[in-house]
Amino acid sequence: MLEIKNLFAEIEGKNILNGVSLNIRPGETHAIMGPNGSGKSTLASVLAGREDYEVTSGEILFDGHSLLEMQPEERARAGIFLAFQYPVEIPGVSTANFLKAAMNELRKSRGQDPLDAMDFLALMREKSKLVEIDRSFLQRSLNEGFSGGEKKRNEVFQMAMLEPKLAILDETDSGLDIDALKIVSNGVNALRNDNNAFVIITHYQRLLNYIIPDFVHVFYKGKIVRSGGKELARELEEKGYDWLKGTA
Amino acid sequence: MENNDLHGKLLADFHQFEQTLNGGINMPFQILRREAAERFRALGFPTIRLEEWKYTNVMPLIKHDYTALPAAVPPVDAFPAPPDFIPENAVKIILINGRFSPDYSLPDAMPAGLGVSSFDTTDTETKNMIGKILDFSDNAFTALNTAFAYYGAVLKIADNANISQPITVLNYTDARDAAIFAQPRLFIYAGRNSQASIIEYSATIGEQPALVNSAIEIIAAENSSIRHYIIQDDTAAKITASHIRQAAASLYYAVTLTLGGHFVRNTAVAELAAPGAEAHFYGLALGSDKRLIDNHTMVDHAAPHCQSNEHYNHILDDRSTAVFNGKIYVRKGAQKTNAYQSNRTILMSGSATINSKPQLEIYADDVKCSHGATSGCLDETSLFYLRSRGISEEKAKALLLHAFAAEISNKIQIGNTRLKIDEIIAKRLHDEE
Repeated sequence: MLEIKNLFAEIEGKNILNGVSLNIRPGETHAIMGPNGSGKSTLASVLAGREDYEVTSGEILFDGHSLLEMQPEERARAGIFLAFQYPVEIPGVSTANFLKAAMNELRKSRGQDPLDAMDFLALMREKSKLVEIDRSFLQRSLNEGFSGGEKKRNEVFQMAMLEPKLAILDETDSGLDIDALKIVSNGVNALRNDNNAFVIITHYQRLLNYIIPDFVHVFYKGKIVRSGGKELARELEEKGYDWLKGTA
Repeated sequence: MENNDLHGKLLADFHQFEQTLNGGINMPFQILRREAAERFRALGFPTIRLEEWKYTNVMPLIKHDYTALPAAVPPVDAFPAPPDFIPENAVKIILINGRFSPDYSLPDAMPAGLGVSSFDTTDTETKNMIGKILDFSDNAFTALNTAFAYYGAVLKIADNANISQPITVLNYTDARDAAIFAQPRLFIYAGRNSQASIIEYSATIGEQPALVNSAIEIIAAENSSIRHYIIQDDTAAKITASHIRQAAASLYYAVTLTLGGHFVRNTAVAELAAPGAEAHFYGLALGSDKRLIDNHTMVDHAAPHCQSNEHYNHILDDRSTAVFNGKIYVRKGAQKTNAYQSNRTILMSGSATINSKPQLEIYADDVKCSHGATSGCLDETSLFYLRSRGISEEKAKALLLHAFAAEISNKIQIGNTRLKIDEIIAKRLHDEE
């Protein structure tokens, strides 16, 4: 589904990614761990198409198509979803209105008719239960005045509505208390199936107690220095990131 | 000072105009007219050397061969029907070419508590109030309006009256056969404890140059509330002046939406003359092509315990220009004043310009005043967030602009008017389904 081949990227002349390679197949969940500043979130931004980063070499294929040539909205329409580390507050645009616009654009790109108002409402009702979002919430301005936990739940709610093939969760656990963490994890787990894949970016092993990954990759200085199964996360938690210093 | 041909021509027109006012020559308003004409003679048209007109050059407007004495007034059915944001049940006050047209304005059943008359037919008490608060000493256009106002309209809201039907003032201008310079004028008196909503809208027919120079005076008595919605979407150039004098605990709530028009200059003054008075100014300007939109506001805190709140948003595209000059004047003794002002601009093109000048003059020491002005492009992070969900860049921009515009249009408190105006704004900003 996703093939990242020897990817290098920089921002303002500073190298952030130094040769990342990764293959993700449908049905898999990959965790990416690593210390702050190791390039984890940069990888997420590059995958979603953020223009602040310049890819200097390497390539990314998504379902065989070159991702780097696609606009952010084209990537979303192809099935990529980024759950933001810091979801953006958009005053004056309600979550419902925003999702309707997003959903209709996705449907249009697949040659489907827009969802009618009743079906859209029914779908919102169903999916909002997944992350225990109150319906009144959906009429409020997108993320405006939401708590950290509400913003993250809203990201997972959007993911549930848009049903991406590949979802990237960028530090979704940061700033969540244990109850919110469980709600978010349950939501993600309910969406996992054989046709989609997840990339879970996290600093801590805690989230991986609830979303069990198939693979764990450790980032250090802009590349993957170690890959393994879910037990690698626990090992990392025990030994700390200092353990990596000799490896890069 | 005769600074252009039109200046001299208008003064000559004034003498001709005076001759037509047989009998009324010594009426209070007629004496004021003469003073105003004299003031206009002395001031001449403003040039960009004047601070108040620094960014707003009227010279291209006044090069036309206007007459201030319009020929025959066409019937109202020559003009398009009012747009659908004007409520069906609204009381309609119609001015054509600047003249109040009672024949078209007075419905069979006027709401209780609302009196409509013209400058010549209104009661003596009102006649003596007209022209007393709208200052023309340093504004040539206000002087000109005062000199030429051809029987302006008078709205009187009785004490304790709550007028539930919106009062719509429609200013129609006929520019089919000749260039026209219209001077509509309105005087509003809101009695004690009264409540009313006023919607102002103007439209012009014809292709000749048209300049509409309107003026409004409002006297708000104790504990009255006036909600004033000004919808500007006219092909004529517009220069407006308004002045409201507010008594204790009165509320003035103005929403000015400048959606169209190649040249718009609004000068609005709220005078908080007694404790507990409250003024709100909300404004939206949508600029495109080479349009100019200039809002000059002044809130005069002349008494203690008053509040004012001002919020103007601009969306400027192409080579459009906007001017915002917001003055808050807190007089000595106006303690416990609460004054807030914000002015935000989104520039959609590198050739669009905003000239923003907040001006605070504070002579009291126990006040809360704040102001802020921002300008810039649409926020890239917000755009990326929307695009990352599959929304096209174009649609994402439209959503953000529409939300920004709605911050102001949502201030309209007449439900159906708000909805219909929102549809117009959505269309202008390309945010449609």
